[in-house]
Amino acid sequence: MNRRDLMLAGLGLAALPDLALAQGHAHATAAGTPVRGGTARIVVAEPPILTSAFITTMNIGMVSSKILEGLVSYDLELKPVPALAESWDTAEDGLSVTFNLRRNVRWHDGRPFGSADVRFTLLEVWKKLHPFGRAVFANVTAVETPDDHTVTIRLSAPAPYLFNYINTYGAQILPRHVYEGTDVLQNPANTAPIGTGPFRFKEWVRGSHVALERNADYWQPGKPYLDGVLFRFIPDPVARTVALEAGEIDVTIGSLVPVTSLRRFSDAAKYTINTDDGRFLASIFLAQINVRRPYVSDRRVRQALSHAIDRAALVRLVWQGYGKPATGPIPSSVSQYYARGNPQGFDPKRAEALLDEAGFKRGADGKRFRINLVSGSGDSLESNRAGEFIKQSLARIGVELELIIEDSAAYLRRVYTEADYDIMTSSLHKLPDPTLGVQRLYWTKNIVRGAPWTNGSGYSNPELDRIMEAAAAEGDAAKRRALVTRWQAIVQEDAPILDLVELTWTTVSTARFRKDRPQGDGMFAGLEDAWLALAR
Amino acid sequence: MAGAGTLSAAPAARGGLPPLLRRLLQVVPVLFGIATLNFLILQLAPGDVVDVLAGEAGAATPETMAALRQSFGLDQPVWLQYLRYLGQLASLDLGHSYRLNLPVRALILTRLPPTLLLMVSALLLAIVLGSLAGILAARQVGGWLDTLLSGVTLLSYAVPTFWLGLMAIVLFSARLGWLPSGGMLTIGASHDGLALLQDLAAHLVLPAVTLSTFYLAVYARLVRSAMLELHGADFIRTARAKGAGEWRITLHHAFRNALLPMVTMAGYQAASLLSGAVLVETVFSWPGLGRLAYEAIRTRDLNLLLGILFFSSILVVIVNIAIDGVYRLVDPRVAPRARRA
Amino acid sequence: MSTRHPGLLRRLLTHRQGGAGLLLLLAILLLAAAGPLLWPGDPWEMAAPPMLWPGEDAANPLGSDVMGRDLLTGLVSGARVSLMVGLVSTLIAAVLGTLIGAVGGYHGGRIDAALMRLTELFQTVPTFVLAVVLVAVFRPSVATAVLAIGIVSWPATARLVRAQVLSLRGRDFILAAETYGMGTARLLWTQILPNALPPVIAISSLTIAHAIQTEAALAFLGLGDPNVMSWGTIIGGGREQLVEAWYVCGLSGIALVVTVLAFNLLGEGLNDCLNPHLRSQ
Repeated sequence: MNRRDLMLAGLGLAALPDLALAQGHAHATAAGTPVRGGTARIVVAEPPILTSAFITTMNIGMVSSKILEGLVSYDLELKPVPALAESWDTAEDGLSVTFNLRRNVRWHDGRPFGSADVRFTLLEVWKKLHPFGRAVFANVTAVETPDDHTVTIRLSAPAPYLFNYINTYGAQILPRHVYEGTDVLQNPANTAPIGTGPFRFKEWVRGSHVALERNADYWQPGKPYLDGVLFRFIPDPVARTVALEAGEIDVTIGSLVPVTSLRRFSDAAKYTINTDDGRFLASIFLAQINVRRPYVSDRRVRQALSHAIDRAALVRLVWQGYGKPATGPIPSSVSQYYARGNPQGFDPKRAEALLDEAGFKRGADGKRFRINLVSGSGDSLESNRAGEFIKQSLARIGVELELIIEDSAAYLRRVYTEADYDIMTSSLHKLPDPTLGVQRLYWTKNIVRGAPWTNGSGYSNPELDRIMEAAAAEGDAAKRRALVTRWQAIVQEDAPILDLVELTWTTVSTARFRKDRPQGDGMFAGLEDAWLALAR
Repeated sequence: MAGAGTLSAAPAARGGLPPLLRRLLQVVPVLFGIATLNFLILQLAPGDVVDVLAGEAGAATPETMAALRQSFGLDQPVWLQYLRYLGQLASLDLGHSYRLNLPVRALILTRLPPTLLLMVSALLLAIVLGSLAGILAARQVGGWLDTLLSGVTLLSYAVPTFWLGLMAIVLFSARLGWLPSGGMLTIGASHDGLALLQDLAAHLVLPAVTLSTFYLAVYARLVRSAMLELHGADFIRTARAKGAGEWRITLHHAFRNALLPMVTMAGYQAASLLSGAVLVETVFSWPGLGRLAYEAIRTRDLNLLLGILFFSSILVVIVNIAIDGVYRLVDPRVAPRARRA
Repeated sequence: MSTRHPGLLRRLLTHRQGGAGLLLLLAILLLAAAGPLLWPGDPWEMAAPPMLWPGEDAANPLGSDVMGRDLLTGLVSGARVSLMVGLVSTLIAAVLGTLIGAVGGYHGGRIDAALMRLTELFQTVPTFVLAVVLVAVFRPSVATAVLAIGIVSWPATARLVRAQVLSLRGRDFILAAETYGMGTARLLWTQILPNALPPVIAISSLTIAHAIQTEAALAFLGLGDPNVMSWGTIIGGGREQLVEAWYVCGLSGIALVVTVLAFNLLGEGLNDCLNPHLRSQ
């Protein structure tokens, strides 16, 4: 917990991984026949509640996804795979979407699951309470339920991005009969959820563990293979690592093994390091610049800062190769929108020239000016180290950087309420669709004083606003891609945000732990397809 | 971490009222002071609960944040908030942890038993082993044991407990693999009875020994000097003249007298032991108050942190009162205030 | 830990401690002062191959950390930070403690009672937890660490000074000065404090040792100044690699232990030499 969750919230959050490392055995698609039985012991950071339907905190999602489900899950290409929705169909004009729900699904308390549950959760929970749900479902004008197994969503304008956020993390379906007529945020089921998923909630001992047991009535016959899942909370990174080595636990998700310790798990015969589970989040570690401040209000200065930072070295030193230099606001895993290359890449000479040109020459002491960099205290160790790296990088072009680490409340207030900072770092989830995860960071209408994870740089560009709004409502894939390409070129050029590292989320497990189906949202997998090989 | 404490003078005595009542009365201003301190810190802290909540939620509008501030009473005058805060504390309501979504008091109470277990184990270890070392050293002043003891004592005053713990993990867990590196129980292993106790003991060894090191040295020195002092005392000489054996004299006479300063010392060390527990629990992931404090630091869960500060202060007060009682038990002749002079 | 009735041998031993402490401290000071000349460079500079073991490369004699920063440069920088934090926070504690102890001891009555309550309050609160809260709330930096440590460290000094002042009050020369109509402030300043000071110096040496440990513990918990490389910062940062590269934590911890040991030894020596009369009480 810590900054990590905080950010998460913002979509933000952090992490690391990569591709650069030759972890070829990335997915645990292990050979062999699944074995029934056994309890998987998984380490996560302790979540505050166990329901993700109205909150984006990642560790909640990692636990709740085994109990509650969404309409779909995502494969490695981030394409939807049926879950509670068996199939779906978008109307020609893009103004209505119909989901055909799975039949014979029951909630853990025995009540049948049906279209009324989806309608209720969409209208009363996602659209009203979920931080991103409000945007995802903004165009929804009505939800029709012609029968128990059909849901039709009516839209005021096409919403192609909607299909990118309806898994158990983005749009988790709650039982209407438990939540209707209650204060959703305070419902006791939030900490003892009743879902349709492969595992039922058994107990939660705070500070220690959450235990789940097998749902014998799960809708996939013969699954889950496991008898149960035990989530353990081990806040200390060294202890987690040692516990995994000692075989006291089977899996750590969400990059809980420090990148610097990953090499200890490089023996593919004993361990698996999965680097694909977090593709869906598309998280990027970035530096956001407060364009309202002196010095950095000058675009040339922002470009100079961008030129000063060697992103490849940052990935190598701080993230130990688990990650990838970012080129723009969209990471390479979201391949259809990814922009190769960045005109503002590493080039310290150009950086110095730009600063000279902007009139900020080196003084007698070799320094040009002094600015600060603010980060939140709950962030990962990598985030702190990245701050140290950036400080060294800027020192080389004569810019003195003061590092400030604030606690979460002070950090958010400083950045989003007081705008009292020059640069801030954060790890934000860009999500598979730019309208969902990227637009908010640049949109003029999203400059909302006091509201966290909005457009905190204060950057405003009417032309860009028009392009982003057009992209949101564009149903044609090719036209939409063209709009997003222009959008990326503009923000690279203006540089209100320096996208630095595409983070890789790692899942480290012992070789005993197998999961049959690779998922792009594997951090939020139900694990009905997971099993434990017999110990040799 | 109690180096400076070793030179501190004992609190001065003032008398009059019956001891227990007097102690209890003394507690009131102390608690009031701590509560005031807490409130001051809360007021001066940048950012408030609503900022944290908004961050957790992922997004919030200024309107909902204003409404939240109102519902928490954050828009009221400071003196009113202060009174409310005192009222809350008086009813032992330590507030709410918005990070963990639980009342602070409940969080603290569930984490208390492991901390007490750790502290008591460390203290017992320090007293037993420290006494033994002190007695042995005193029997041969200047002998190899005595010299070793003074060397170890010096070192243990200088070694930070958290670092000692880290090095112990490197050696005993990572290199030798003898003991678990952290935690309190092997979770998931459903032990019971003896197996459970064994499991617990294995997890307890490293943290308890680490935490006890400093106090062990303190007690060893204390016992050693008490022994030396008493060896020349009249009643010891008498006992010796009566033909009592050396060990008998040591145990029956000298040690009994050394007990008094040891009990006193234990009282003074309650606060520093708690401070030490924060670090040791952090290093060994021991699920007690200290680790809770560390988590609260990492998440900057201010309510929780202040609750722990307040609660641990109460704990120190209670321990001190208890020590007064023990003191009377051990030596009914001595009025409690005499030892404090 | 003043022992009563020290034997001659013990006394000698104590002096030996004081001497050893002084020498050790001089060596550390020398290293801290000369370090930047001998091993110039920014301790944050990521120039070496990461996680180099000590002795593996002559350019980085003590090895490097996970970010490729030279450990020796870091340790030398840490020495300056630790000494500075220890000295300044102890100065704060000494001034606060002396002031509170002297005023309370001299005035007696309600003022004394109130000040003693305050002292008791600070001795009841687990001081490290209080320091943690203060630093966490007011943002970690060298300044907050120094202030927080100073604020939690004064009570021992205050009690000591108070006891000294109480014992001095009845002495003839004080009574004489009072009779001549010397004002309270002047009396405290010119007559009482100079006589009460020696034990303060002795205890301050121990306070410095404790302050250095506290700073390291704060940094270890992640409450260090992100712009300053201290020993605690190195230990905290090296903790993730504890098993693979224990020398990072190990070496900085040894530096810490040696420094704290030096101040402890010095404190004991000072205690013996500066107030021998305490021992005969």
